[in-house]
Amino acid sequence: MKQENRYDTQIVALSIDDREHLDSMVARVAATDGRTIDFTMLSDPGHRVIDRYGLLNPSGRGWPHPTTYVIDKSGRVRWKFTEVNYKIRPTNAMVLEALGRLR
Amino acid sequence: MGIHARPAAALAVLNLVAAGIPLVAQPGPALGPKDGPGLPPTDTARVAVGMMAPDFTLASRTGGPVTLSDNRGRKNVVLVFYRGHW
Repeated sequence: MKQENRYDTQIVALSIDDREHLDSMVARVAATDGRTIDFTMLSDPGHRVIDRYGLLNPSGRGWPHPTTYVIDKSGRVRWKFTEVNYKIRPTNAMVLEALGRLR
Repeated sequence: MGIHARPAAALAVLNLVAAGIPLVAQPGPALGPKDGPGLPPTDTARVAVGMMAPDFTLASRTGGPVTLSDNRGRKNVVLVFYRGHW
């Protein structure tokens, strides 16, 4: 998180989970990892924003194809990673490198 | 003739309308995307590098509605779409 402050960045996580599911996930992470989730978590239970971004996974239950965007201060997408294999995920280093290129 | 002949009140209303300010109180931000009704939901290349990220407002876990474009001019955003609970 400290590195995100250096890059003047807000982290926003979005899923179809409603508030109750998000609360229980946050509690579970705190209990098992002892870590506090301090980034913004948004609920898209009708997957309308997921649909707007074209990310709906048609084989699931409103789930998105997991995707990370880096969006600059003008609102423009500067980097994007779509996961096609759940085992291959963007690393923090990759995201920080994309943020570092934004000026 | 011309705008100088109009009553001041009517001119004030015209200025408000021109500024896009709604004349009726809104109940609050609607949740969801701000545009694009009717687009197919699966088109993973739709929002690509170099394009503007579609704006939206959604409810956050800890507080009220959050709008993506509120960050403009202030912060970069790392926007993560994830699967959620199984």
